[in-house]
Amino acid sequence: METIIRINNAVNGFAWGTFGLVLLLGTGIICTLITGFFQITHLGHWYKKTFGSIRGEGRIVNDAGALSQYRTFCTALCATVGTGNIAGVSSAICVGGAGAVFWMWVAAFFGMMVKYSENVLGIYYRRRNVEGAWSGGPMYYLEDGVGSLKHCRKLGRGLGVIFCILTMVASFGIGNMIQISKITINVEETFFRGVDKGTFLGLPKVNLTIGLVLMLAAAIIIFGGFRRVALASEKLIPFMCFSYILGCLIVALIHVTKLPAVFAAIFKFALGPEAVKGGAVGTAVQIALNTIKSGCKRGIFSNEAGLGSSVIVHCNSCAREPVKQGLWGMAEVFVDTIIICTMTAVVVLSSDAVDLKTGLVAAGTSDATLVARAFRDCLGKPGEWFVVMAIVLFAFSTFIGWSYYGAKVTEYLLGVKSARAYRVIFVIIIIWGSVTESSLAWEISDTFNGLMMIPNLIGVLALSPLIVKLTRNYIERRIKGKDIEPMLSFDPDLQRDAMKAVQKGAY
Amino acid sequence: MIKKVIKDIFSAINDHNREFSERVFLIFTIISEIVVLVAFAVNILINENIKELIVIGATLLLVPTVSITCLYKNRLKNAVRIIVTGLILLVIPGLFFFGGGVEGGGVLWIIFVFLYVGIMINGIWRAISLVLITLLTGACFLVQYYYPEYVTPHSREMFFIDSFSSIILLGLICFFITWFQTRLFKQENDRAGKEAERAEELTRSQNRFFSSMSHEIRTPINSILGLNELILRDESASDEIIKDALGIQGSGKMLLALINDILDFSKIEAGSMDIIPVDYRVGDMLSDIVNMIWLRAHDKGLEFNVSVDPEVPSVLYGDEVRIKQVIINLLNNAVKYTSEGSVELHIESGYISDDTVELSISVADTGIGIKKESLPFLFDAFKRVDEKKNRYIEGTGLGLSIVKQIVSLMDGTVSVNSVYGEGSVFTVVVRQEVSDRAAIGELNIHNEQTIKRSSYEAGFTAPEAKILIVDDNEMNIEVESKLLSATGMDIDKALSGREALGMTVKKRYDTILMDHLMPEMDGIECLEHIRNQSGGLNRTTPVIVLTANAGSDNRDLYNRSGFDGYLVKPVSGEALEKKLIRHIPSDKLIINSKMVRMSEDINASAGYSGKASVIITASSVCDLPRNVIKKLNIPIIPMVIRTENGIFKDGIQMDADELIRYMDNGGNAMSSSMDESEYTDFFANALRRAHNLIHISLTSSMSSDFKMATEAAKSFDNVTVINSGCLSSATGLLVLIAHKLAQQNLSVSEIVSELEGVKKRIHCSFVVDTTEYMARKDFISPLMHKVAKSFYLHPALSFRDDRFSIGGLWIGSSRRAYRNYIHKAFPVDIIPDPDIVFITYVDIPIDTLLWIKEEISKIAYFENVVFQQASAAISSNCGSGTFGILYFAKGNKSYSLSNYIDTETEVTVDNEDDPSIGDSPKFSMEALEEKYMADTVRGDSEDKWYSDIKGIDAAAALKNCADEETFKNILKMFYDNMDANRSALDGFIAAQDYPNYTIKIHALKSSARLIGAVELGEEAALLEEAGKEKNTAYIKEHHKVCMEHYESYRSILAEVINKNGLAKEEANKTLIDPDELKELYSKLKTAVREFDSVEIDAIVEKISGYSLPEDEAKRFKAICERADDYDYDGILTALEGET
Repeated sequence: METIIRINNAVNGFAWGTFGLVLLLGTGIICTLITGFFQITHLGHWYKKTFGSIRGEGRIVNDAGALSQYRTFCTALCATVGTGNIAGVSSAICVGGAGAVFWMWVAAFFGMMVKYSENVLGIYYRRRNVEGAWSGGPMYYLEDGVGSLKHCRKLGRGLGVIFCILTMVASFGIGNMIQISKITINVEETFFRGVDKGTFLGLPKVNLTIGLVLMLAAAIIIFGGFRRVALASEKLIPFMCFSYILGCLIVALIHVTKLPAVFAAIFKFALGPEAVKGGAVGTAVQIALNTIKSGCKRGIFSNEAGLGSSVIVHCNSCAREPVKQGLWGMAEVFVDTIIICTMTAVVVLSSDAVDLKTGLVAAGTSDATLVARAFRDCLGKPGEWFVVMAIVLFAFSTFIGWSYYGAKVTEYLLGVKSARAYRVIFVIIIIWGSVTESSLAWEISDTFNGLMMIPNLIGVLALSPLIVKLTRNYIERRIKGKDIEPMLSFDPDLQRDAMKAVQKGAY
Repeated sequence: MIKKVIKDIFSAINDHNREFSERVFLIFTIISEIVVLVAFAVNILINENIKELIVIGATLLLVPTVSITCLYKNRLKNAVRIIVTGLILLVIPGLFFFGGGVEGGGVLWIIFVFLYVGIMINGIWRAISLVLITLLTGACFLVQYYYPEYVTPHSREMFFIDSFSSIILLGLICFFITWFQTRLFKQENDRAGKEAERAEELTRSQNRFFSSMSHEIRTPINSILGLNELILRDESASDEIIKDALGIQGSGKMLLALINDILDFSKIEAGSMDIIPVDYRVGDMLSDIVNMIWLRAHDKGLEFNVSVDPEVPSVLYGDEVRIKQVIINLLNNAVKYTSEGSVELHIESGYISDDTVELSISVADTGIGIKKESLPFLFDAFKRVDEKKNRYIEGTGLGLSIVKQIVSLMDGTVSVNSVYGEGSVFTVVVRQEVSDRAAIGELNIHNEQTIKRSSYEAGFTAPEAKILIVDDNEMNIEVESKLLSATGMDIDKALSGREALGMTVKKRYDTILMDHLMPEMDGIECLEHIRNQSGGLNRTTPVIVLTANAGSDNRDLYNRSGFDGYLVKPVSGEALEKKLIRHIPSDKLIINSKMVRMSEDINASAGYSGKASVIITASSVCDLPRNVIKKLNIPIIPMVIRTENGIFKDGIQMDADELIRYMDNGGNAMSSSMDESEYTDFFANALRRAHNLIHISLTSSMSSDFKMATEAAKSFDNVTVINSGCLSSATGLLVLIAHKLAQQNLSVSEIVSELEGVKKRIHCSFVVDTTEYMARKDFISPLMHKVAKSFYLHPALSFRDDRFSIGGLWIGSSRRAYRNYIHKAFPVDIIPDPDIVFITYVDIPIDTLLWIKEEISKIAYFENVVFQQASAAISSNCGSGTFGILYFAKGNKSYSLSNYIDTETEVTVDNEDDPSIGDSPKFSMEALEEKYMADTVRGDSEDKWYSDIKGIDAAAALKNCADEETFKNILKMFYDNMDANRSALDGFIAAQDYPNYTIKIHALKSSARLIGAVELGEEAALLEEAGKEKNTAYIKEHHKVCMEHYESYRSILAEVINKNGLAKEEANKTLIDPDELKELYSKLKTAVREFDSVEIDAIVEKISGYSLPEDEAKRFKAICERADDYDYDGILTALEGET
């Protein structure tokens, strides 16, 4: 047991630590370079084709069984926007100071292109499953993409299977029980503190009740098929995001005088708080690195870029152009990190937790409750409730998103029938998540979640020439208006179909 | 003595004649004996327990005794069994308990026993011994563990020595046994290898012998035949001698053929048959072959047909000799085994790459066929199939084997299809390189066999016919006229084009035969002159070109130049006759019926019709709309329905409606598939159209279709049966998809693998209104039926993976069950292909069907909803009130099956529609579609000529007419017929002839709709309705309005037509010569007086070939109209005005 824990800790540190960070950031930089700083050079196009199209093109469904681009985007955001956007940001600031926010932006900037690349590949290598629905994701571009390279057939398939196993295990822990547990704990702490309703079969009744309610809600959504999941996401996500942003803005407004100082601090302390740098050069570098690391970590991990998870959802889009869905991937990172995380950061920084003059974190600040405290300080008790509700929603949406990832990887491993069984298990397991607290299994699932990046990044890097080709092809056609053959799918049948649709005006 | 025993033993070990196991036993025994002896000695040395010593000693003595006794008595097995039993029951426990138990050497000997059992015993004894020894070991250990006192203890020193010596000894045993055994195996292997080599050498030398022998025999036979030939040529020889010599010749040739076969065969066996590719002309090769076989077939009274794809390249690169041999072998076989009917050689080719073609040669006969049990051995050497029946047919049985070997040497394939008793088809497919891509064209194989002309009789006589032959070569003319002399035709000859033109003004010929290459004016030029000759009488006379230039290029040239036919020189009388028969007016022909099948010149491409690569077949239960089946030309094998009143074929002799009525009245019906022989016939028939056949069968859980088809398919190499795993229109969907794939020229294996994928996507389920029929069929028990009936249970059946199961059970009214079923039919997350859905029903009223459609549209979107009445077979199983929603989930590929269904709109103008279509009403989403069509038409064709015609819905019209060209023509027709229609309608009104009026107005309705004159169509429809109801008042009231509306189109259309050059032809016509017109009119008058309608038509047509002056045009129009109505007096009056 001890050994397992030790190994797990080591691997976990490896996946979520500096190594994973460098790997993801490196991939992001590579993807940015090979596409010629696509996120800057085509900023206008990107905006027009994503946020600019939400009222029009983004809502059109012109493909049997696929989701509209906007709905796909919402479903993908579902799992991405999680409690990390609240608690994660506050702890990053606690560790790295205000400067961490700057590095979070930098990392998100590169992370955008990782997500873009994943989505481009995902759409290019997706296919229809036996039920007629789209199936895509790292396992498919590993199998068909990497597998089509010379001598890599088995490798591709093998990596795909590994990715799926990792995802499946992660989905039960990080995607299910951990989120459920977060909800239970938060709700219990806030609303049922000190209330003891007794136990049932040795389990606290309060927890059981919360679990059952969640289970019911999840069952209604998940058993309605992926279309209902998407529908629920489309309803949930805008509500959730906007209300959180609104809340944050109110807090920011109350501290409006502090805002210039907040932003100044973010840039000023980008290389760590000045005050403690006095000593040796080594310490200064150490502190700067610390800030950079904690910032980047948030910027990378909060939006799942590189883990290859949300691309599984993106593949359900009705978009025929791989690049088009890539743009939505960038939007996903943008919303998640640049908007929501920044909001949290502003709230945290404008509270008294961080001294904006010195960049030092106030003594005795515990990172977990930082946001809740900031809200409470401004709005009193309702503020705290608001944060709890936000956490509940964020966790629940993550849970919903993961149910889809898990079902899809199960489908890849064991077929569509097993995917149905998986959903049932996934819903049942909620009750377990609501009554237990952290365990080794969770730790392992967390590690597995981190390890997902390895097969996925191998796929992205191995197929980077294709990403360049697809991007160029898109730019030539859609932006420069040249009449060349579009590259839309690896499968000749799908390509033919997609071409027909594109000629009719589909995007 | 001992020496002898040892010697004996060694010789026994090395004796290869002894059984292997015996030898192993000997070695084993000897080695163990020696080792045990050593162990015995050691045990004595260490003062071992006396009881153990006794045990070992006894073993030492008894084993050899038993072995030797049994060996001499040849009861080796017994020896082994005794020894093993002894070892297990006595020796091992003895050694264990007396030798210190675990702390001794005895325990190690258990391993020895395991080894012994493993090597020496077989079968059940081995298993028993293994179990026994394992148990024994366990027992020993347990005993020592719990009752140590039973074991004689060892001192530490003894334990060490004992176990050490035991390990060493045991190790030695293992070592030697393994070593010896490996050695023995190796020896045996070497020996086997040598044997095999010897056998091979023997065969080789045999082959060499055969081959040299055959060679040696050939030489004398050749000289015999040569000398015999001299006798045959000797004119002084008497008839008797010639007769005998002919006999010698026949037998000699046969002998030679046999020897050649053997020679080839041994060459192949010896591996010295090489494929030597050369350039060869396909035409030459075929003509050689045909000349060889033709006479044989002819002698046997068989018809010999050759059909060659004109696209075959003319020069190929390959082993001509061997290919020829293969074809001749197959043809010879075909002729040999066919006593009546025909033998057919069919050749076609397809390019694989730029310089390779796949040549497919098939030889079909109507002979005795091959039993399907014999098919696998067909190509084995020396094996003649059905020896008894074929004992009178000569042959070595080598022919097919040689064919197979040669073909496989060329990397080709040979396959057989055969229906026993009806004939076989052998198909050889080889790849050949192309040396000259020029197509072979219309191959004319001239028969060089000297057929006694005395037996020749012309195919027809036509003493009244006049023909003209134009050729600059007098010889040719002579020959041709000679060839045709028997027909008694009046033959004129012209030696040049100019001369011919002189004759064509004087005389009207029935046919002109024209040479192509002539000095001054060649054939093509001459033809032009004839066609446009002023005053010429032969402007329309068929002209056939006679040429020495073969090849498809030339053929095209002649076709383009306007020749009516084409013959290659030198031409035979038969070919000429065949050609002329088509062109000489039939009233002048007297056909000699007896001689229609006379010896003929083989025009190899005349009979050519390209075979499809793959066709799809299915049974009648695939429930596709009949017109779709008809349009796609899918062969359908009917199911059989057995009722108390007899046996009927599904869909042919009995319709679902009838059956339901019959069953509702209490009748009982069973459906089943046809039996195997019917399937065989069905496949054989269908294969005439294609090279490969894929039969898509129903699920094997409900029908024997799959079983029968698979059984029948065994007779064919190229019939694949796919089990659709479902029923009814779901199978039909698969059929449609398969058809689509087949049309994309995919290979059979590609189609099959894709279909296997699609199969998983098909969703097939039915809801059954009442379980009554199922109970009658014993699908469910009567009790279940009672329960279901009393609770109003409606079950749903679903089919998946070739099994059927209850997919749901609903209580309550039918509607409720239907709705539940509809929801159930579209499980969550399934995304149906929006292309098409079938609603296959049994006896469900139309409003319910529409309701079903409505309900479906709430859940899933389909572009086409096809209502299909279930076949009688399905109906008999489920009964009325049953329906199924059958569709497939979307895949990577879209098949656009709707194309197959879509054209089913009402294009038919008159009442000609197939009444069967009425059975399958189809409600596509017409409104939606029309809107869509209109949108697209408006959207992308703003500038089209038809986009803006007043009163005409171009979109609807285009939909009806499929393309613009047809639309144009139909508009013109509509315009041209206006006068006639108008006057007819008015006439009927005036005469109060309402029945005829109704018919006419119906026609108007159809044509109005066709051109998109929607409103006019509506009006006409109302009038028609009134006509049917004899509502004369309505007609009288509305006729005028309708006609005015009708009239309004005249100006609209006239404008459109003029603008779009529809009237252009008019301008191209030459103005008629007034004299000629006069002459024609007078001729017309005579014809009218003689009531000669044919002549009238001819003259009218002639006149319409010219453009007429204004006033004449009017008159001519009147004449035409009257001519159409056979109003002869009217024509006369019209003509009267002129003179």
